[in-house]
Amino acid sequence: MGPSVAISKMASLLQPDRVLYLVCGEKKIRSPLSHLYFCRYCSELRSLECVSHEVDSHYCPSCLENMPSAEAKLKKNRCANCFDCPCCMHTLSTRATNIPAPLPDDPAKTTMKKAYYLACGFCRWTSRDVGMADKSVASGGWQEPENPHTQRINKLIEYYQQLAQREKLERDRKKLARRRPYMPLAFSQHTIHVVEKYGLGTRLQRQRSGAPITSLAGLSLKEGEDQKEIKCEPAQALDEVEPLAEDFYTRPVNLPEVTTLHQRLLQPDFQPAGASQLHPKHKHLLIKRSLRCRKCEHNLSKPEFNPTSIKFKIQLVAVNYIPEVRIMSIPNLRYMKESQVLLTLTNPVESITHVTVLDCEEGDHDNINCTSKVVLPTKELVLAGKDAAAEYDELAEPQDFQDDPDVVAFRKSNKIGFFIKVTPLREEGEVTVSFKIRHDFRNLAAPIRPSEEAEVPSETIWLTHHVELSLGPLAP
Amino acid sequence: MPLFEGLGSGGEKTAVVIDLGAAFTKCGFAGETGPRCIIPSEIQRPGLQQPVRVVQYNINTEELYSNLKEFIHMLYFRHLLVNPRDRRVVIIESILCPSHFRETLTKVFFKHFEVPSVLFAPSHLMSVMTLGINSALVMDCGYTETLVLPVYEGIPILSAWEALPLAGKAIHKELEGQLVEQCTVDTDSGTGQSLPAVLGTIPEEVVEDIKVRTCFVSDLQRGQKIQEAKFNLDGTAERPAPPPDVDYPLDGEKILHIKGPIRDSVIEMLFEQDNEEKSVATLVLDALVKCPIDTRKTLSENLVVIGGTAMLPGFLHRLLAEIRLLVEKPRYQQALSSKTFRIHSPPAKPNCTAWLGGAIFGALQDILGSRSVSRDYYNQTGRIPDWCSLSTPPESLYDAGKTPPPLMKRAFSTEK
Amino acid sequence: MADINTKQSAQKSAKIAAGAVVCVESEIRGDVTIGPRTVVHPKARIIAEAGPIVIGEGNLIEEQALIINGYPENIMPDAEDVEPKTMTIGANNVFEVGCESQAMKIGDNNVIESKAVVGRNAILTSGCIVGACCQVNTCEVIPENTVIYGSDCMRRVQTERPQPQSLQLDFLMKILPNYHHLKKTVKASSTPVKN
Repeated sequence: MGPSVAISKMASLLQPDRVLYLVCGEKKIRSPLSHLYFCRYCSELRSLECVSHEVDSHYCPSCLENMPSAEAKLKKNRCANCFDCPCCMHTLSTRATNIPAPLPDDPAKTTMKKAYYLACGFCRWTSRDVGMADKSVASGGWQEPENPHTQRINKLIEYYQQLAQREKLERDRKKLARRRPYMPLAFSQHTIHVVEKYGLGTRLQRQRSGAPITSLAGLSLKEGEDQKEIKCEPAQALDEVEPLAEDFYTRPVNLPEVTTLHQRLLQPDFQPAGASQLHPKHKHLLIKRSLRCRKCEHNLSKPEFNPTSIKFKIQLVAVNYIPEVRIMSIPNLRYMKESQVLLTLTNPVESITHVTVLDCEEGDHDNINCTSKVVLPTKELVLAGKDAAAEYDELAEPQDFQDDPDVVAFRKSNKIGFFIKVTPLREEGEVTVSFKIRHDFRNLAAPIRPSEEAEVPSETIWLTHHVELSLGPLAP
Repeated sequence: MPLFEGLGSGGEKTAVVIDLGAAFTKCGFAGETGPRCIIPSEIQRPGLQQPVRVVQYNINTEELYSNLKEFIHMLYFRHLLVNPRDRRVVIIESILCPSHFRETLTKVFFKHFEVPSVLFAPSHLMSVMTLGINSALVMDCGYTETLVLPVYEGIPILSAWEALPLAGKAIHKELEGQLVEQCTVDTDSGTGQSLPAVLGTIPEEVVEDIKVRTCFVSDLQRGQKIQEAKFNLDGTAERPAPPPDVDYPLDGEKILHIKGPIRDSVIEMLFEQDNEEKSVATLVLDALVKCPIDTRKTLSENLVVIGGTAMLPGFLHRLLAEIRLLVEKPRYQQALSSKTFRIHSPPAKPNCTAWLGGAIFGALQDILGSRSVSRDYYNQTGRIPDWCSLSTPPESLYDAGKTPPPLMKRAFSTEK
Repeated sequence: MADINTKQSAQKSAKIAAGAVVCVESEIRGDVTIGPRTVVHPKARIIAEAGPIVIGEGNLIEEQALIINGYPENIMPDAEDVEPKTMTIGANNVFEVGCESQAMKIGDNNVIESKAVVGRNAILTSGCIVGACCQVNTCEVIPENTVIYGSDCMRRVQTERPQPQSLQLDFLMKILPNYHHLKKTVKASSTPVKN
């Protein structure tokens, strides 16, 4: 997630973990506001845990070319043009050289011909190292070796599919009759186990109608049952296994020639032991991810299609909608002594927001971490709308909100500072304070509204969030 | 196959097949010939240097849930690049998988990733599917244990399972012990220093890499001589000439001298019989003895060995030789009349065989749905049926009046 | 920076073959011999402290590279009885920006990439590449054509040795004199003398 990484980096300067907002998804999650999303349709906070992630678009991280999903599926999520070094996984580059080649009309003479090969700039692996012939065009047409068992496996699949189809047909035909499975039942070990464990219980007996256990999963086809029967040669077991080569016990190991486990596992179909069998692989694609609210299925985040763009079509991050509480200064906190903590509250939206800070009620299930008594401002706090232009306009007249100086410590554009009084109730550990903030929210851009009603002021709703502040340890 | 997906009879998108191994996870799509990736079953946690293993049975459920969630998220969005909601899931599981792990994994798939259905497929049974046969004696030699399970006519003979904690993990421990004890390190400040003085411990990945790149399984004769020399304390038995030492650069400054004798002898531990006279080879025979008498010939002639540890050079050859030697010993000679042992070579590397079986099974769209547990069923019941829940079948699920589906269906699938 | 005296004495003792391009802004101390067609960039340092340094033909020594024949850590510089050992560097090697080499013997066609460090105990044969930021300080002879790369100093052996940077050298020999003063070379006829 590009933006959330950026946000969390930025927020680490601000110690984001000290102010946590509670998200009530399937699980209650406490998270800094900068990590959260806000679903405008449900009007609720969402965390990365309670949204569903979706693959939005595929792209190659090397050439930054977009690849349509259908094509990505076909190409097994690999870029057609870029390759990874099989040795160190660095991206390979195509290198051009001139090689002498005989002239077509006079083989005695040679001419210089362009030849292209793949080379790794990091570990210096080249396609020539493993005996791959140079190509005459830059775009290559480099082929990956094919799994030698492909044919056999496809045959097996075909064979089993036939059996599966038959089982399905029979099942459909005799819905009520007991089915005879053609496939080895993935779970039939249970049957036999139960039979052995409990003996043939009455119910089991009735259902199995006395058939011997071994016939339950008969795989063989009745002869002549089907004209177009696909046959599959059962594999033949071998009497002997190749022993190690004679010189295995005496030959010194040349480590660079033996692949590492990591290199082997990068080529699951081959897992070569010798470095000379390492073939380059097409570069694996990456995806752009979109996020969707699980409740209302609306997108919370949708990136732009172009892989080179870091922008979003939709990005409902919570800091753009929900007033943010930050800690400005913390005095020395002492056990059972009341101190004033200065907090700020920032309004992210352009309209005026009214905020009330409320105590947690007795027996509040969300209020589990609080370790102190807190006295909050009783009056409603009014936050000016955010006005990006005003920050550069020095002549702009400050709006007059007629603040009570006992409550509002200062006011600066869309931000205010206010005091809360905290009395730590525990002699040791972190001092934690929790309260609720209740604010009005105008769902300005709610698209549910038909366009002709656009003039109608949007409905105002009241949202309440549970906020936890961690104020650090008591003063020594 | 995957090229024509959507055109199949089910018209579904191909299923995702995941073999969540203790050490490595194999994952990819049904109908393909190999997994898309084989990656360590671990996740990085912020603030922790060491990665966290995902397959752990002895941690609390909440932590397990969060680990699995993160890991599977990575599988979907880093490797498979598909939406979890769109595809059924086939999970290859060990029959020894504890139910709390299984349940947590199911919860992650259904609750967090909202997959349409989940099928748990036993690894041993799936391996048999890669061969086009119905009966085999399957040995899975992986990371935590070696587990032998006979499959007869498509049905695992569960009562005959045999297992020992002799596999990759045990080899790593032994190898590390021997390296620390016997090997020296050269550094910039001097040669021939003892390993603990320079390093303390060796990270498991390095031990594993040393195992993979330098160690091998000696053949039977040689192995027996190595064992004789090892347990013969008066020194009369002589060890065969060890393979050459290997200089293994640990980084730019330290070179570990791996002694030759470690290379050919460390794997012997799999074949040495312990106090209870057990080794990976006896597991096969013990399992066979437990099988019904009329199945034994078929099973012994159809051995299948899967799991990453079986990929050590010389492993299969030695295993077969050990079995043939043991079967002549009095303890088996009486019990087993079948003396022919034959071994299969599946169309995939041993560490991917079970996965491939799952990929074949997952391609059978006609029956995959009916064999799987659907999200609806899970959301209604909140649990995944386990074989042990057969004693209390989830009857409430089915409308009264309808004929209950046959035994296996009822326990393991849901139909609308 | 070093005062004029040391600079002069350094210049005196450096034997620079004709055809070599050594910028005055480079720091060369002690008994250093530089072969023809070798280019030493400004701010490169070649320090022969514990013994002479002999650099062969066609080497490229880039900015802030440090080639030092220093005292081993545990031997005091004033220990008289230590025989001065000569550091020899073959032909067509590249010392990239900011690398450090203490290797007493370097063959031909090696590349020490940026910020890489080669310790005193290692011997580079020929065609080796020490990757960027890699540290090699083992007591060993690095086999020919070895590539050391990555944060774990992984190794591999390449089939082809790196090409000599002749085009780059030609270019530098043409262009550097336009912007930098060069140190004086010995007369074209005389060959550099080893001590």
